[in-house]
Amino acid sequence: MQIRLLFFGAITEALMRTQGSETVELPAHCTHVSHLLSLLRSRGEAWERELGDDRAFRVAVQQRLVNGDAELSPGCEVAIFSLITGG
Amino acid sequence: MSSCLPPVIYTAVQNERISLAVELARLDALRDTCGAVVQFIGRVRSDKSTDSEDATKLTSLKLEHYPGMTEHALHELAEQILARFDLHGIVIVHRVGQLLPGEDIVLVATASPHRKAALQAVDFAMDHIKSTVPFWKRESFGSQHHWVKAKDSDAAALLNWL
Repeated sequence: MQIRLLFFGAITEALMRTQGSETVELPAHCTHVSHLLSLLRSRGEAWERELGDDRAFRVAVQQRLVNGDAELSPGCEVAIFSLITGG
Repeated sequence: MSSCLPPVIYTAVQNERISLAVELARLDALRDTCGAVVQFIGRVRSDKSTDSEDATKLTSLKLEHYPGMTEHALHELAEQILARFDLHGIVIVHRVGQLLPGEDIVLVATASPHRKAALQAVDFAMDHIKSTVPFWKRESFGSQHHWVKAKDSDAAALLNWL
């Protein structure tokens, strides 16, 4: 299935991304947020580091905060972002 | 809620400067029932960089948001505050984009029959905007930029409201 992936905050630059969004084609076994994160970590050193278990970041699916157990659905929007610094 | 008027709830995420007169006027219908109106404005400080030794002061602040999620989260927060405190009205306006030192970042205004609820509601709103509504700050000091890190004290402040 295809998903739309978005990035916000410091993590966007830490992953050396020039654009804040991309479309990703997921392999069949990739059905949950935890699978997606494993897949992204395999993209290279920066990804492994920034999405490591010791790093504080948040994931939202369809604009709702979720954890690794959350299910992905075809066409869904997944956002990965740094801790919030509003106000 | 003793008033027969519906509560006022208004939230906005905008690039434009905040007009205090326009935003406070949204609470005008509550003049007869609300003896207390509290307004809080958060502004951009021209602090020196904490990350480097040079004494350059902040030149601008960029506020990023997650279009859709941010607006929704801000409105949900306002609804939560109306339900929790004895309020008749709440207005929250948060800016995004490029801001300069001295500019207003956020306005929270609350109206209630008595002051305590209005004061507490503003405090609750700011504690939650800081770490639960998706905004990210990036500071510029001349040609140097860095993303603001989330503070442990902001996360701890939320626990006080549990």
